[in-house]
Amino acid sequence: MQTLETSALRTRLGEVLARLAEGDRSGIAEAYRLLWPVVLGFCTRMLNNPTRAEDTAQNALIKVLDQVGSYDPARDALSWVLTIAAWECRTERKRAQRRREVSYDPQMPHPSEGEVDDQASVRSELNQTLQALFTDLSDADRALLVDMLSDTQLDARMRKQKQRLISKLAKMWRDLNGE
Amino acid sequence: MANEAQPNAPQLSRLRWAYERARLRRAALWLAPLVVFMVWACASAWQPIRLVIAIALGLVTLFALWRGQKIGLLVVSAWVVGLVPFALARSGMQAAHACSAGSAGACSTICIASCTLGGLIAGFFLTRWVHATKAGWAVWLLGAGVILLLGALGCQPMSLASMLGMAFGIAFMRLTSVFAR
Repeated sequence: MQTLETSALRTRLGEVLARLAEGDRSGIAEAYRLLWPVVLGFCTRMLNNPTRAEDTAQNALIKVLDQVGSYDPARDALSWVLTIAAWECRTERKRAQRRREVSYDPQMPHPSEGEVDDQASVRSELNQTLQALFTDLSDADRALLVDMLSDTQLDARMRKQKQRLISKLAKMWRDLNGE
Repeated sequence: MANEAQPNAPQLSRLRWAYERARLRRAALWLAPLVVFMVWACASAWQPIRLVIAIALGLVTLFALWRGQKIGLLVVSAWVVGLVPFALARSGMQAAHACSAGSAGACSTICIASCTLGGLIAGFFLTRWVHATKAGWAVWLLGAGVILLLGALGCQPMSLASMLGMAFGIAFMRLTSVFAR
C-alpha cells in the first residue's frame, strides 16, 4: 500500500512540476500540499532538530520553486526534490557548525543567560556525538587515542597508527555530520 | 492521498514570490540575445521610432516568456516566423535600386510588396501554429503583434503603408483559415 502511495505521489508530483515548469501557477498550492510532508520528514531525519528542520524544509521548497523551470519531466520528480532538500540540509548544517565555532571564540564577550543555555545544548550535542564516535572505535584505537591525548611519546609504528586513526575519526565525523 | 498538507497564506505567498522571481529571471535570460539583435537592428538604421518599437517588442516578449504556457511558446514561434518579414522588408529595401535612383514611387511599391509578402508568410505559419495548439484569438493577436513589431524593425525607412501591408498579410491568412473551416 505504501509503495503504491509513493508511486502515485511520484507520478502526481511529476505532473505538477512539469506544469509549473511551463508556467501554470495553479500548481504552486498543489506542489506545496504534496511536498511539505515529504520534505519536512526528510529534513527532520537529516537534521535531528524539528525547529531547524521546519525552516530548512521551507527554504528547500522555495529552492524547488526557484529551480522548477529547469526541471526535466523525464527525471523522477521526488528524487529531484529530495536532492535539493539534501543540499539545503547540508547548507543548514554548515551554518550551524559555523555558529558553534563562533560561540566558542575566546575573544567573544561574556554570553547572556540565553546564550549560555544554547552553548550548553551545543556542548551536550557534541558530547553525544563524541560518545557515538568512541563507541564505534576498537579497543586498540581507543587505547591509542588515550595515549595521544595524554601526550605519551609515540614511536614510528604508532605514529602511522595515529595517522590512520585520525583519518578514521575524520571519516566517522563526516559520516555523522554529513560534512 | 494521505501525504498532503494545507498551505498557510504567508508560506504560499513566499513560494509564489520565489516562483515569479525565478520565472522573470529566466525570461530575462532568454531575452538577452534578442536584445542584442534589436540593438543591432536599431543601430544599423537609426530612427527614434525604431527604438520605441524595439522597447515595445522587448517588453511584450519579456511578458510572454514570464507568463509561459501557450503564450511563452507562441512568442518563441512568433520570433522565428517574424524573422521572415524582417528579412524580406530589409532586403527588399536594400535591393531596391529605385530608392537610390531617387524614384520614390517604385521604392515605396517594392517596400509595401515585400512587407505584405512577409506578413502573408508569417501569418500562414502563425495561423497553423494557433490551430495546432488550439490557442484562442487573444494568443493569435499577441503573436501577430510580435511579428508586426519585428517586421517594423526591418523596414527602412518605415512607412505606414508598409506596416498596413504587413498587417493585411497576417490578418489575411487568419481570415482565410477561419472562412475555410
